[in-house]
Amino acid sequence: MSLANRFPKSQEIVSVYAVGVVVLYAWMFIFTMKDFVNTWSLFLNVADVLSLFAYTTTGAFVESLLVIAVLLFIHFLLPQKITANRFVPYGVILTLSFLGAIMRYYPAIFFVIAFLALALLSEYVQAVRKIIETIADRCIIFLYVYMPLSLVSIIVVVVRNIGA
Amino acid sequence: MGKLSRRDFLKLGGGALGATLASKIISESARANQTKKTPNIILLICDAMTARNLSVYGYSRKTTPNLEKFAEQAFVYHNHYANGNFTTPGTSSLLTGLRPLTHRAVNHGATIRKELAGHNVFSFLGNGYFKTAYTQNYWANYLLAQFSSAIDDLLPVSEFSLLGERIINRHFKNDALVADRAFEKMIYYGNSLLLSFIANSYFQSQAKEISLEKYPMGLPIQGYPQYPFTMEGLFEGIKNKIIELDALARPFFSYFHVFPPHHPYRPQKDFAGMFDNDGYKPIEKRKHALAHDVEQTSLNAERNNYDAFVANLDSAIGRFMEALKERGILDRAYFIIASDHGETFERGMHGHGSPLLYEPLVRIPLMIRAPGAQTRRDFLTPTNNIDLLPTILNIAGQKIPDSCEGAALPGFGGIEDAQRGVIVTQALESVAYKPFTKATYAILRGKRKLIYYHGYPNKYQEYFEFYDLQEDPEELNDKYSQPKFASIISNLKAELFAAIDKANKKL
Repeated sequence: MSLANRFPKSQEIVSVYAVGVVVLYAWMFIFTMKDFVNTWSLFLNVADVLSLFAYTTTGAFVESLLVIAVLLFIHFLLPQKITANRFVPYGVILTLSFLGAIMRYYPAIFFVIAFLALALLSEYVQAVRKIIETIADRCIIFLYVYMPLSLVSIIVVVVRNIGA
Repeated sequence: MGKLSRRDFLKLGGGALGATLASKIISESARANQTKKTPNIILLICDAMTARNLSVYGYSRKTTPNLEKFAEQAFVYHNHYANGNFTTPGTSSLLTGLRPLTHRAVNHGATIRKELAGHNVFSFLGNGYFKTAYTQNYWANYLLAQFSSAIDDLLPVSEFSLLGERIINRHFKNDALVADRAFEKMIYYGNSLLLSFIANSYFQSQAKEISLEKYPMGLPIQGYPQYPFTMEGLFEGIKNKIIELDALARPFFSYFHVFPPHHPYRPQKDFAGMFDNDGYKPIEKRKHALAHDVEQTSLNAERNNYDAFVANLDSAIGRFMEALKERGILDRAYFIIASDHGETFERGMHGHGSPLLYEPLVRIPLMIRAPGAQTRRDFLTPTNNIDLLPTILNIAGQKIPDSCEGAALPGFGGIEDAQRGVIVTQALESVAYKPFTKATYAILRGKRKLIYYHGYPNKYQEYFEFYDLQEDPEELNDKYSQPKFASIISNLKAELFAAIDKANKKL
């Protein structure tokens, strides 16, 4: 069996990746905007503020890659019998549960229960699975905004750090 | 000749670098034997150290026996003031010799006006001095980053912590100021959800590996970033650095800004709880409408921990001084101990950085020991942190620029001027480069103090308080409306408003 078969289809990867991107970038933008309104706008100039956004956007991009890399690694390790056609629902549920847990607004156990409940529901209730897949699919639209933004941010960070 | 492999290239490069460094060290050490004509200067800043809680300044709890010993051979300034009530304005004034009204670093983590970036003690000392700077305080580090072109050896924030060097210092050298600020927000304030989770999990796991036996309240941390450190490790590191600097041919100026006794107060086992049951009762003061509404019992508990942490710091400073004395370093250096701002445990307010400018928040220690000094001298006239830069320049035999707003301290070329006004500013929530819309100012002359609140809700929209610190050092009786003080109040107001207007015209 080829190695490529151990990974999900690219369309599935993009869907799950998009869910992670939406959560991570939204978190980053909300808190960075808060900093901008509360403090940065009081003393920083536009160039510095944009540079700070470039750093945080690059950070969010790295985070999104980490999330998808971990999911792909788990998928790679588990037997195909278990993972076949389950990457999108399980990937989305795992992403949301994990990121929700590390936000620390609620105890981690809440997200473990949520993960188990959603996993079971998606396994036995077709409608739940469909909803999760649809949400993931809709999230792809955000990639058209966030990916170019990330690319520009990476360029800004690199340029600012090049030279003597 | 065969091809040069990557490994050979690295070996060759490493060897060349090593040889260059070695030759530099050897030549510096060789030159060190020559007599230095100008004195070394060591400036030790202890963050958030209020004069009010130090026994060397009359506090009834024995918090600073070692500083008392140090004071016996030093010039002691009894009415010394910070120019702001938290790190950014306080440290900026200390390093630039300018008031917050002028340098405008008044917001959390701000830097000074860009056109004033060259107006700092490191630049003015010039190349005759080897200049080293280190701070454990992230916000103070932004300022050092702004002045970095004039600093020969800027140590990273984590230098004496238990977690080693940080990524930023290694990989973002060319954009350190912005990268530092971004990483602080991403990692330590959690703006990056996953990266902050990973980093903080790592820090916690590292801290757990270090024995807590000696620190029952947990290891001291540097605020943000929350690198743990030990008091011994911190001062051992600073001592070793000073020994290294002392061997240089050039005289050195070193700025060491340590985080203790800043919150969180985590003293070592021998000090933790030492004041908990000593029967000391602070004077209870009415809660201030602009304070944080903290209950007195909590304030008292925080005060106990703070005092214990101060005692712990004092002990570490004592050992550190002894070590420097044994090596004769104190006979070759001016040693200055001060703070960037105070700390309060009264009127419903804990900590610092609020709209309040009462004595515990702004009156700070200042002691200077000249090389080989054996006697003590006390100064009672008000002085402030903007006087440090001119004083250091005087010690170094350099000209004081006209742009400095402070004056050399009495005992170091300055005079005891009881009529001189000292201005403290707090404008945390105002836009930096416009006239402040929400601010508190305090102006002191002799033992008279006027506080002016501007732009806060209700009566504090425009409000004044006036205290006679000679009769009322606890600032319990506001005498603003007493006719006998009308003239002095009017004079203080005129001086304060003139300073505000002058600063605003330069914006």
